[in-house]
Amino acid sequence: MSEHKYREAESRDYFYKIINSIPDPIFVKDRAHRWVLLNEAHAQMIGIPTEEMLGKTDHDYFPKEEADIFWAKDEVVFETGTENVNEELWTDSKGVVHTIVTKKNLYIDDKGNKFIVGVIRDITDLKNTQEKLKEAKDIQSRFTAVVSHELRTPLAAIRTGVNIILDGLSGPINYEQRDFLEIVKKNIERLSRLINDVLDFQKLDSGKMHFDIKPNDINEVIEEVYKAMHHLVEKKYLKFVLNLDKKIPHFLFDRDRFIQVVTNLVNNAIAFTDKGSIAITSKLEDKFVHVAIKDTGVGISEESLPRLFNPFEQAERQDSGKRQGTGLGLAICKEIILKHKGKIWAESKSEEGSIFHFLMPMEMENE
Amino acid sequence: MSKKILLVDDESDILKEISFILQKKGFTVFTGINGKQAIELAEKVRPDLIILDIFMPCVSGSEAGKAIKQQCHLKHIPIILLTASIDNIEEKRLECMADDYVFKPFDYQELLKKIDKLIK
Repeated sequence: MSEHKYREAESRDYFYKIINSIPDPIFVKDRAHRWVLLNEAHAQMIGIPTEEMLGKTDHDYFPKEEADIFWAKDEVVFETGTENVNEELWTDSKGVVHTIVTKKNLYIDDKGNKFIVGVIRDITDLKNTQEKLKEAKDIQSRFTAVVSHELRTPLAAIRTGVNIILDGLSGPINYEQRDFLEIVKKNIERLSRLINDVLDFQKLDSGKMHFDIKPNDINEVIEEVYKAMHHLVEKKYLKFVLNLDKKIPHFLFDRDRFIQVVTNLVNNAIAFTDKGSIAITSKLEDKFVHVAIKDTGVGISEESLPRLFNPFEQAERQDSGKRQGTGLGLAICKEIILKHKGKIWAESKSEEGSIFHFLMPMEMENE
Repeated sequence: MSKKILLVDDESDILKEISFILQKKGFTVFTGINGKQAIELAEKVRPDLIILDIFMPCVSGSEAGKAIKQQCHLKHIPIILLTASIDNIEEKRLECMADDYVFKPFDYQELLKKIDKLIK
């Protein structure tokens, strides 16, 4: 054997070793759709030795309806040169149906001959897992809806009953009775908030939350929250400051969901601030609206900051003992802002206060 | 003469409480526990307002509301829906042509305000 031929044989051997060691099935087809090269992973997947398949086409091995689809898709690659990646169903020699994804490329050799080079990936297990996950999510969603409905009904009876007594409709009550009933009432409100938050979070998480996206005025929303929450801020002898950028035009967002976000952030600020002030600012920054809620409260430790927007995070940062939220508030805020293609984050220094920021794109409809 | 309110809910505790409040506020209250009774009582009593729970056995509140609103001589009677489920409430309200709705657990003052608005 000449030196040249020896090197050629060695290099061919090396080439086959490499493609046979690739774990995904690989094939090359000529213009007549005949297999001209297959690796071992391909033989293993199909269950037919490579030597037997070379020179044959899909129609020699697969059910006609499947082979027709493969043929038509290959034809598109031969004609247009465009790679088409999509899921296909393929029945193996034992009759088991697999979901596969084939990535193909057109290769033209020095003489102008066209070939398709393809890599197959069997995603049957992945598909099954995704299906199971979807089913589990659906069950979870139905479960949450039923549970929350079943919790609301008795809660309605408890709330109304307590209010009847507290409001004196059933006769006078003494100071102590009133004091304890106020505790009951406060905890009913807390439980109601928890149910609403769990339901909201579940809906956001499963993508079932309906958003009413319309042109709205962000400053008007902030002013509404300001008016609604002013008395709560004053009750704690805090200053409530608004710095609104009047140049912000109307832009697309869900008004009620934004009220929910701003209310939630202000509520947190009130809960964690004992002296000083709470300030809301809005500012137009290029194509974004930047809203910040700043307080002079206890602040958040550096370790807690990255986990702050995770659901039920509050339990872990409960250090002041004052918090009575659900631990879902910030996770809900984050989901709402994300659904508007915005961004939310917080900065804080322990004992100096916190600033919660969110940034909203002005042109969501173009995305 | 005091205004008549027809209150229909399959939850007897809620029925008792709301009846009590409405009577204290001077209304004459008639009660039912399912949609079928709601339709019959609406015809018989000709109330000034109907409060209907949505999820009830036999005939649901929304079906009863729809049946009442479809009758020429009853369709003027305002209906307030009560519901513990916050899903698609506006859709349900439109479907049975109800005038308003209240979510459970509600503040009864809120319910009274809505009643006042609808039968003043």
